[in-house]
Order: sequence, then C-alpha cells, then structure tokens
Amino acid sequence: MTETMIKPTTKYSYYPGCSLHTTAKEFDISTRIVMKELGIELEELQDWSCCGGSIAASVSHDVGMAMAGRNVALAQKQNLDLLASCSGCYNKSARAMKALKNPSEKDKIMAIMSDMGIDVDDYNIRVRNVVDVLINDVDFTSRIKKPLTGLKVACYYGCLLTRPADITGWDSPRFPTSMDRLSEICGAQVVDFKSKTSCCGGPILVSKQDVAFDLTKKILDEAQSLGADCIVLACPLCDTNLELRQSDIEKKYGVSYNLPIIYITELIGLAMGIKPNKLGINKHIVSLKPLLEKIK
Amino acid sequence: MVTKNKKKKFVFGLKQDRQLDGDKMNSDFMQKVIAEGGKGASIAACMQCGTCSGGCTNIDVMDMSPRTLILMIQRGEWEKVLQSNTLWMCSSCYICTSRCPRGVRPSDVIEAVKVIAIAQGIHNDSTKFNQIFVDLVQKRGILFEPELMHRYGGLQAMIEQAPLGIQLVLRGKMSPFPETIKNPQQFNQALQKAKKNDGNND
Ligand code: SF4
Ligand code: SF4
Repeated sequence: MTETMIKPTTKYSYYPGCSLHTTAKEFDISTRIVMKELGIELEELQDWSCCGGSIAASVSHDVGMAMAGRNVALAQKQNLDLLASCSGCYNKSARAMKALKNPSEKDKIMAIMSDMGIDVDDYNIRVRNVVDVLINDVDFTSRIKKPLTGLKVACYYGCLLTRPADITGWDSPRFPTSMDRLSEICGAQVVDFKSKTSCCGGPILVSKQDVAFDLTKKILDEAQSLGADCIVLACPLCDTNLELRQSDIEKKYGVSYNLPIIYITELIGLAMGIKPNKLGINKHIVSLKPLLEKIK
Repeated sequence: MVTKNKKKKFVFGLKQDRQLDGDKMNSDFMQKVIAEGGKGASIAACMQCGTCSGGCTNIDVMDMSPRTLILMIQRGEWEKVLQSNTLWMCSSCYICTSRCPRGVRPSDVIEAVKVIAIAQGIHNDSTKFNQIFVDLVQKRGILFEPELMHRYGGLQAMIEQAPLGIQLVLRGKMSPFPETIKNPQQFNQALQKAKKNDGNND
C-alpha cells in the first residue's frame, strides 16, 4: 500500500450520478449525512453528466470514454478527488481516469472533451468509491451508538465495485471483504455469502430480462436460504434487480422473498444512531420495517 | 479418446477447436477489435485455457463461449463472431477479465466487438436498447429513464412499468421532468462528432 502515506482527503467532489438523483435517492441521502457526521465534506460535482454506464462504450468506445471522462475532468477542475457512491459511476470514472493517464489513449478523449468546452490537461486527482473511503480512510468504531446486534446481513458486491482490479484495486475481486467488515463494525452478523461477487445481470435487464431475472433469483435464493435479514449493497443497478424487480421475480417463479435491500451507507447510519427517515429508509420499495423492528 | 468419429476432433491430443497456428492469425480483425477496445486487450496472447468460460456468468445461454469467441477472432472468422448471441448475452461482469491468466480481457474484447457489430448494421433488441440509451444520454447529459422505457418498449412497456413508476413517484424517486446539464447542445455535438470519427476508423 503506497497510498497509506497520503493524508486522508476530507473534502471530495461528490458525483451522485443519474440513479442517486432518482431510484436510489436513499443512497444519496444516506451518503451525504453519514459523510457529514464523519467530518468529510462533499461538494457536489458541478454540472456532472451521466457516466454512460456499462453501455455507452459498447456503442462507441470513444463516446463511452468521453462521457465518463467528462466528470473526471470537472473534478480535476475543482481540484478535488472524485467520490462516487454508485458502483457503476465509480467504476466508469476510474476507468476513464486510467485512460486519461495513458499517453496512447488520452489525446483522443481530451479532444472530444475539448469539443464539449472542457480543457484539462493534467490529471492527478483520485477516483474513489464511498465503500473504499469508509473502510480505508476513517474509523467510525467509536461512533457506533446503536449496534445492530442480532441482525443477519448478506453483503453483495456484484461486479463493478471490485472488478477489474487494475481499475479498482482496493478490495479483492474474488473474495471482497470491505462491506463485510463495515457491517461487522456496525455490530451486524455477516453470513458467508457465496453469491457476493456474482452478477445480477444489470446491463442486460431490459434487453434480456429472462436471463437477468434468473441471475437475480439465484442471489435472492441464497440470501434467503442463509436466513439473512437483508442484502447490503452499494450499486443502484443491482438494487433495481434485487429490490425494484423483486416482486416481478416473485411472480414469475412463484416464490416469496420480501427481502429488504439496504445500501451500506444506510446500514452504517442506522448503527450510528441516525433516525431512519433522515437516511431515506422510508423510500424503499421493499419495506425495511421488519429490519427496523429487529434492531429496535 | 474416441477415434471412431468421422470427424477427427483431436490431433496429437489437442482438441481441434482449440487450435490456432500462429501464422494463421488474422491480424486485421484483431487490430480492429483492439482499436475499439482501447489498447488493453491482447487477443493474440490467448492460450485457449478456458478459464474465462469456466467462470462466465452467462455461458449457459451463449451459443459461443468467451474462449471460442476469442479463438474465432484470432482466426478472423468475422461472420461467426458477429452473428453470435454471446455479444448480447454478456452482462459485462468482468469475471473473465479478472481471471484470465494472459491478460486478454475478454469482456473488453466483447465490448469492442459490440461496437463493430452495430457499425456493421447488426440489429436486435440489445443493439436497439444500447443505441437509444446512448442517444438519450447524449441529448441531455443526464438519463431520463421514463423516456428510455418509452422509446425502447413503446406504450406497452410504459403500461407494464406503471405500477412501479407510481411507487417511485410517490417516494419522490422519479420526477416527471428530465434533468439536463448546462450546455446539452455542445455536449451532444461533441459526441456526435466522436461517434462519426469512431465509425470512420473502421
Ligand atoms: S482465460 Fe484468457 S487465455 Fe484463457 S481462454 Fe480465456 S481469454 Fe484465453
Ligand atoms: S464479462 Fe461477459 S463474457 Fe466475461 S464472464 Fe461476464 S458475462 Fe461472461
């Protein structure tokens, strides 16, 4: 770890992305309040745009890189490390950052961004994910006011938070543990979840719905069979499958889950004693009431 | 193994569908794929070990495994690659890339082939969805999901998604008004131009 020498940043250029302004509003709300409580300042990235997700670069490589690169350039302009909560926004920004530092790639991307009216030549900021910052930069052990004793959680990492490692690199792509450790600090009991790095089929949810539903079902099945009270995650796209489409999956396969899905920042906020509504917990489609009852 | 088969599958213990002679590699196709996938992919290094296929999320529904797809690219079998459903079944999970011992980055290769397939005029539900997605992001800089659903699935998709949509609206998680960046025209024009240039490279 060469970066341990660097003083932890206390102010970030915060990139919420499309999902955190819409379907994953609770992820946005809980990120902001938890970071504030921990003394980390978030300044919203001005005029941010969509990162293009997993899709843009499969229509045109250059378009995909420029879409994601634009946000990195804006953060560089603000001269602050970029922080994203959404695994997808984080991954695509980090990928663009890598390309912008690569002499054989950067000219092409910078030329497109220049056409957008954004001229930034040197890139030295870092692209971080909220999970990375929470596990590696801060120690909130002393801030736990309401330990989540007795709560069984299954931590689900999916794909973009940890893969590929040359873009992410702060947790194992095969056996990631960061969210497990964060949940343990919160006092929760973490189950041994084999599906933790499986793919939920997010990018093909619309065009190949049956395939994506099969994948998501397997993840829900395992969490349920382990007796988990909830699945903890950090990706709004995974949440779309696991939570928003949960009732569709129940209908399709004739099963019943009623399994709460919670963002890692909400879980931490609860353990810190922040009121559920202040974390946006009332915004979930699959109600978190059973979970709140359990930790009362 | 079985030798009575009319078609000899094994040559000196090597399965034929895994074999590629170095001098038969088709560098044109590989170069094109590499151009689209950035400089990271190293297709020629693939040793056909099958690790990528072994871990692949969607191999059960693919007509060509990621390993075979890489072999077909090495051989320059254009048609087979572009007609394969593997391109559209792949969910960009990066498991193959994370495990490949040769740094081939199959997921990036597949991503690049998708670009080529669209440029070649391949049309299906996936290419339709992907293109609409990019068009809409280009238009405003920020995705407006109801519009994506409408343009992709028409009125029927809107009706199917309505119950979920209402729940989202009630929770303040979906606005009827799209957000935009400050200068969407300039953004759109820059990306239009980039797309055109990208196409011209082929
Ligand atoms: S894992 Fe890598 S080297 Fe092995 S077959 Fe797949 S692409 Fe080739
Ligand atoms: S990225 Fe695609 S090809 Fe690679 S393992 Fe995932 S689904 Fe399979």
